[in-house]
Amino acid sequence: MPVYRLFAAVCCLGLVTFARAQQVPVRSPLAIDSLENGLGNSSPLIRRALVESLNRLPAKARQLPAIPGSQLPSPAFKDIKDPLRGQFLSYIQASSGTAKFNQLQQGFGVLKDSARMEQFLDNKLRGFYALFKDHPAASQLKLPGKPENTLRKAGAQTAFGDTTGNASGWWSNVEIQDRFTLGSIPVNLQYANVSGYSRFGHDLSGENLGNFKFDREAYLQKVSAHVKKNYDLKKYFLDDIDFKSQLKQFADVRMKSLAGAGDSLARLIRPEDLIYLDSAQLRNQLLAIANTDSLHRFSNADLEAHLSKLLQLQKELGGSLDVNSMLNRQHAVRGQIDQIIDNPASVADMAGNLIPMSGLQRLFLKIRELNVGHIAANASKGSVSDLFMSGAAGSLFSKNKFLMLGAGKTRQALPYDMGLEGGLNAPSSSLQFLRMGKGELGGPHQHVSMVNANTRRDARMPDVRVLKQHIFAGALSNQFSFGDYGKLDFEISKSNSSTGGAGPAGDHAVVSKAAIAHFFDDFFVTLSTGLRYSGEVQDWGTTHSIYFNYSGLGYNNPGNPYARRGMLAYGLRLKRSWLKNKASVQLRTDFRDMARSAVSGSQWKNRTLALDGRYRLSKKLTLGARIHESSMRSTGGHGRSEVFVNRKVSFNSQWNAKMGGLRFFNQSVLGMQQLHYLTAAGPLKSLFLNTQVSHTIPLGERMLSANIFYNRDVRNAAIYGNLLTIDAGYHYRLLKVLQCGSSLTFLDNRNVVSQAGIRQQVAATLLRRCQVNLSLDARKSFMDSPQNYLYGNFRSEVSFFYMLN
Amino acid sequence: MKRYFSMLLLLVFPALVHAQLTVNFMPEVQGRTLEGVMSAKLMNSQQRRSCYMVVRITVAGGGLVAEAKTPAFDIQPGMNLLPQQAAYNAAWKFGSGKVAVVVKQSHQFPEGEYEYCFELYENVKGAPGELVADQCFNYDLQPLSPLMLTEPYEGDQICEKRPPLFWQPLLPAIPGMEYRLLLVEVKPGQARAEALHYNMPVIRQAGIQAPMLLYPPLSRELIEGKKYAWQVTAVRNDMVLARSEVWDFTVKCEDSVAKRPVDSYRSIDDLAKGNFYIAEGNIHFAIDNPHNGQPLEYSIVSISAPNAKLKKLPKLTLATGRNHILIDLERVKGMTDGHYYLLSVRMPGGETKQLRFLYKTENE
Repeated sequence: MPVYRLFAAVCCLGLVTFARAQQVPVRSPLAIDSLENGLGNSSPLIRRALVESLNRLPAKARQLPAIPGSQLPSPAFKDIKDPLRGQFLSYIQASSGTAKFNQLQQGFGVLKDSARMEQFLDNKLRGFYALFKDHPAASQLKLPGKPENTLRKAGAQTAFGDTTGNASGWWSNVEIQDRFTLGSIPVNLQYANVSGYSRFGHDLSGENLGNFKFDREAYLQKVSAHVKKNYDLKKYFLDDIDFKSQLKQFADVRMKSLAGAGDSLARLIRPEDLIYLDSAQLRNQLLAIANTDSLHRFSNADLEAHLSKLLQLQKELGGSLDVNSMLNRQHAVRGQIDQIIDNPASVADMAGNLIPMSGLQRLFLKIRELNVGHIAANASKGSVSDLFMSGAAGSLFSKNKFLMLGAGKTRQALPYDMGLEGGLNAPSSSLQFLRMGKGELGGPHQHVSMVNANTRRDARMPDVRVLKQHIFAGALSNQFSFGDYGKLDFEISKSNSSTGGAGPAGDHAVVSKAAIAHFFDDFFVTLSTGLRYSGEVQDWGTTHSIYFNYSGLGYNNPGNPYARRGMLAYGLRLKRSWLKNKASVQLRTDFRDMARSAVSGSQWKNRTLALDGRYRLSKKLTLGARIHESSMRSTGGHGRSEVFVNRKVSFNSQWNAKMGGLRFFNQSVLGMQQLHYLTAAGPLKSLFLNTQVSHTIPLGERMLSANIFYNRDVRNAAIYGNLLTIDAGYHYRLLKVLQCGSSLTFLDNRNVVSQAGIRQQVAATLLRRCQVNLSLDARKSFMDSPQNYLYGNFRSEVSFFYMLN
Repeated sequence: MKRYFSMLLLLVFPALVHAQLTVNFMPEVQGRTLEGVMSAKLMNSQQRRSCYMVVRITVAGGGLVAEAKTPAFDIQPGMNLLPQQAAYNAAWKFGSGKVAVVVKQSHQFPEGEYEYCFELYENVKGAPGELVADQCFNYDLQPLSPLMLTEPYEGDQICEKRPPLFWQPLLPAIPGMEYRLLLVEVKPGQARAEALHYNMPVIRQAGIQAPMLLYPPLSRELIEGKKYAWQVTAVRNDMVLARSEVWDFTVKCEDSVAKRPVDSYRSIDDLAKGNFYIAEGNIHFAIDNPHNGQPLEYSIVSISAPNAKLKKLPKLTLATGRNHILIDLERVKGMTDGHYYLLSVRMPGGETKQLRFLYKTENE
């Protein structure tokens, strides 16, 4: 065991160093900031082009009211003429709000010419330029604030079955989904009532579950649609301005107006030269022409004078390098415009500049998740994972900083756990968690997280004796991206727990301390680390991942209720496909060694290996094979023994062809399986042969189908080993709205049960919005035995849903 | 009078009184965690009394593991569970050995030969008095193996609509232990932990003895394209012994539906006018035949590589009336992705229509 620990620690440290060294900066796919820089923000050229284009518009074209008399703060914008200037000011007021506008007005006096001011005005100018001309009123720029409510789905389903003994009966689920929007922020409400009644009329259990979730996707779409309604975003990205010809035109006019030899200069040097050539190249060009062309022979002094004029002009244009890079950038930006405009998240990112938004509306642009009620929380194995709780959780992402917070009372008991009142662990805890750092969860990140919990009782499990326990777990999580070479996830988590209450009155011998106070106690016993590398090689058609996890026997993280203790696990997954995905092979292995002892090396050793192959022979036929083995051995003081084996070989096919003029689809599996395990009564060894065939023949709108499943235990060891089920059915449409299926069923489990019956299904969509489903499976037993706990005689399900979306 | 008599008994026959209060403890189940130990049952054959309980757990070769002292609590006549408050407020002291550290941190007992001793003291005016019961249990404990799901694998994509489900058994086997399995649909955007609580189960099966479940014949079959989450719980009577992790899988049968052209069959006359066509795996058109049924005469030649020989052109026949023709080009030998071809079709009237097309293999 110590060897593993050492290995784990060294491995982790080594890989972190490696990962840091190898870290490759990853380009955010749609970074608006870089794009705006790409547009050469604050470039006088762009400004000039926009102002010229706007000045050409007839004043009446814009219906915005003008704010008269005001001046723009920067001389760079002096070319904007009235009434356009007044309209531009009015636009700034409408899109940034009156408060900001007043602030600006005051700032005009103080902050003259500041670069920030210019950039702000440049952005506004682009927005003003992109504003749809037929815009009705400035107030419409605001996001609609009126509250709205839409019921999205409401319905109920109920099922009755008699397969699960005393616990069987009616189960129903009433469900409501609703969305309300306030100030354009949409929140979804989900409510479910789960209840059950046994056949004998008593209440099995029941839960009222509900949650409110901020619907980020809907919000981004709403904001994006609103922006697009008011702006022509292609114009915002200056897609319609041909900078090159604007530049040429400008250079041409200016060259001609140069005093002295302007005219003849313009004949020698083309405007393009001015844009693309640097000073040395310009000089060479001038010299070359001057030497070859006898008409334009210059004296050296003239040459220098001309050259300095040209360079002056070039500087005015922005310098040859700047101009070139700006043109290149504009070209690059154009390639991305469509991608950005189609992505609601990117458009919403720009919304802050384009439409007036309240503080709350801006905050919700940064919120990734906000859930309140009976909710699940997921981040990573070392913090929270598959956690269910009643409480609240949310996350926020802004300027590459991530923050996630949550608090609530956890629970593991399911509504369907009827009769399970006792247990070996605390069923609930009041828990708070925090996670923060750089980068988002899905991408490269460096996060630190904390989970704090105090055990609590759960009324659903009254027989569990809960002990007073305080648990604290902290984790560092990193994801590194190697670009095309894949990504590496690394996490290290440590827990500490303290147990005990006040004890008998007057007994002060034992005082339990807060878990955080001794956080670094028992280090390796309470440590958990995880490392996973995954990537793909497109040229080879492969995807691969490998992982390594270690957790100490005392590791205890209430945020991850299914975390394993004392486990050393590693494995790999490889997938390769060939011939345009016609053939593929997948290999998976998992090795899991679970320590049983704190002192000796005894373990439960699990091994899983799965190999899948698939080959598509033609469009009609696909063949596949699968080898699967999972086993468990017990090693240690009690000797070494194999306690579980599940070994399986199977072949499958999907066949899609025509026979006798009828198309059909056939899917078959043929397998052999060895299943050995220990029961309280002794070892059980089965050898199964199984086959599953499903055959479907579509006949226009109708369909014939047949399914056969046969499992035979060659050794007759398992009670449920010899099972044959057959069903044959016909699917048809009745009265235009009813989609029906009628089947005959047969089931035989040797020496346990034998039954035959009918299955009827009806589905209908009524009045376009109501969906009704009905299914009924009734069987008559010819033979039944007390051992039969799996196969009931009756199950029916009814569901009714009213859908709006 | 009765009370005095019992007090007399208490004083005179302490040994007898010992037998009046007994501890019911099943180490093979309850001896696995601290919470389990505290759910030992107390049998009181007398009337109500107030006691203190001390639980001391030691391990062979490792000394003290843990010791609990509860506040005073009432024991009713008959079978009692330690009251929740008394368990919650018990003070704990842990040993310093390796086993004790693991128990202190996780409340789980690792492998070892344990002795669990329960002592009950009479509550005399708010302080522990006479020892009224003292019972010890010895057990050579093997921790339970992890309850792990095996198939369908986490995140897998499967073709069967009635898949058998497998997991690794919980060992060592405990008499009376059985599994429960829950399988629910996971709706788009829903977390699987949420799906398990909110959604109507597709399979809710109790009483499973083997570490496998053949898909219950009475349950609805799974639906293509949907995602499902499942979890197995090991139980004994009313007690949860272990829960597996939650896994999910998607039913997606890659070839369950043959790829048919999504666009309609346009008349060959229209197509020939356009004179350009991209054939992804196949070429399809409609053709009217006013005559009797006859074989369709057509040929395909490569424009990109005129020498390439094409073999195995599918044989097609025309019925009277409008015919929808689909030529499966993937079955034609010699077709090259990205090459241009010319299709010539002799119309039933004798006229020949030509169509130039770019061949692309169908992508999955």
